[in-house]
Amino acid sequence: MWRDVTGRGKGVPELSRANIALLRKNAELEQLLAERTTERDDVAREEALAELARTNAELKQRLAERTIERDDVAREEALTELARTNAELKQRLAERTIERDDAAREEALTQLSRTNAELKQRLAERTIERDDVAREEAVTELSRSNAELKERLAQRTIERDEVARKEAVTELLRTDTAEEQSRVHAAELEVLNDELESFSYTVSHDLRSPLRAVLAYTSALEEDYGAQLDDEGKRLLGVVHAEAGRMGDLIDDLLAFSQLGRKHIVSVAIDMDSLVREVVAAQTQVSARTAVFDIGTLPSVRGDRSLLRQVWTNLVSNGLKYSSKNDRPNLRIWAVTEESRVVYNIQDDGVGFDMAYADKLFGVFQRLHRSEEFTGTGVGLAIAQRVVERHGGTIWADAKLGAGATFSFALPSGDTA
Amino acid sequence: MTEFDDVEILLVEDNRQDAEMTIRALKKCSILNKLFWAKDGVEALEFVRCQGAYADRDPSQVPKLILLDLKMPRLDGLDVLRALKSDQTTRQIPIVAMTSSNQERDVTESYRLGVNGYVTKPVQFAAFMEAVANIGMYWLFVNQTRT
Repeated sequence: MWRDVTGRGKGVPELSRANIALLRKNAELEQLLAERTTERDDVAREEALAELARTNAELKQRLAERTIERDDVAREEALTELARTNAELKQRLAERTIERDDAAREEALTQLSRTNAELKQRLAERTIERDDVAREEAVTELSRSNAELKERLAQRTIERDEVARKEAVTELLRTDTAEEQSRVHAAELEVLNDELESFSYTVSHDLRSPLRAVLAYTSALEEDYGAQLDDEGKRLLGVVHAEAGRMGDLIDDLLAFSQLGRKHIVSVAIDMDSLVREVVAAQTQVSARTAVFDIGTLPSVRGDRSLLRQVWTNLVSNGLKYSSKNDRPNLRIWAVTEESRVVYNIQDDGVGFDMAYADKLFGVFQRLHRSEEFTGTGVGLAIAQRVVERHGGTIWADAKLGAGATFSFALPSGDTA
Repeated sequence: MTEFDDVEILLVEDNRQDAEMTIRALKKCSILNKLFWAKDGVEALEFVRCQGAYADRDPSQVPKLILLDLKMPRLDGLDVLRALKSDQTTRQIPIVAMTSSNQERDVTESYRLGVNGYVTKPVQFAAFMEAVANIGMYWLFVNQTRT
């Protein structure tokens, strides 16, 4: 940049001109001095030199101040140039060894000041130009730094992004794995469900068929040849028939229970009053028992009519069965409407059960009484529980050994129509 | 006149015991109409269409009732049902599916194919007897078929 400035031919020629003017003035002064034969004034010279030194110092300071942001080479060159000019001036001044008169000295000083002012101006101009260039360079440098920083930032961002991405991928993989696992589980469940279905189909067809034959042929045997059997023969045949029949009931109940899970629930508004009365009528007719029913008002809910009929059938027949040893069984059916559900209850005054075994009550094939005492397969309450739970409800029991039992089930009443 | 003439009930059943018990149940409730027992679906179709071993059978004689088991080897009950109900000459014959299966898919498919009745064979002998008697009585004596 310095070369650029000097290349314009501004600096040196003008300095030369100034020097020429100075030289001329010096020549004149010398001439004058020579003519005058004066006694020199050391003090004055020293003062002039001190002034020069001060001016130089000022210039240097200003230059230094101005060139703070400039590159070192340019500053050094400028300083060298200034130093050189000053040295020349000093030398020339020193060489003169003259006693000057005040006017000449003043003139010289004025000239020096002017020169200095010019130099300052030039320097200022150059500084401005150089500053521009420097600023551009600085801007360029800044831009470059910026670009570098951006690049680094980008690099770091990429690195960070990569880490984040890897983490995301890991997370995704984890999620994927979880989803995959749940898919696998669902598929396994599907397979299990299919297996269960084909199992229940097999049970339904292949297990019932021979059993039906056993029952049919023992019946045929009894019908056709019963007369030829003595009492013990008839008793043995009767046991075979009864046990095969019990097995048939077990199979039918198990099938009904297993099919419950797959049965589609047809939800309709159910008139529970009439449904329960139908069930009670059918059960008392079948059992021909002289039970007394006290049936309260039963609010309607939505649900599957045939499934809930099954629940009531099982609970009513249960109540009748376990109170059948009473002379005159009493059964009470009532409902309690709660905030979001209706609780239906059926209470009997039968043999009850020990609450210690209450958790076994709703299990498949779980019985709290010996079959010699009360018949049954132990599936009825399991079916009732499954139906109630499929309706989003709960079922429970409360009883005391020898003091009757109360079975209750709650159905959601939220969407009662 | 062959043993295949005047058949009013066609029983299609691969299980010998079930067939025997069905025949016994029908006799017990005095349904003495002539019955032919086809051991599987192929035999049933040949009988109805007067083909194969039944080529000499009088085609004008159509059974009044077909009792059809569903699960059979070779051609199963649903295939027989499909064949008979899609044929103009046999579609009017009442067909009652009598099966051990109470699977919903079998019930649904049977009705889709045009079965006239669907009965799950009860395991208990008394119930079985009653079911067979009811079917026989209804379709042979109560129900009015197109002639």
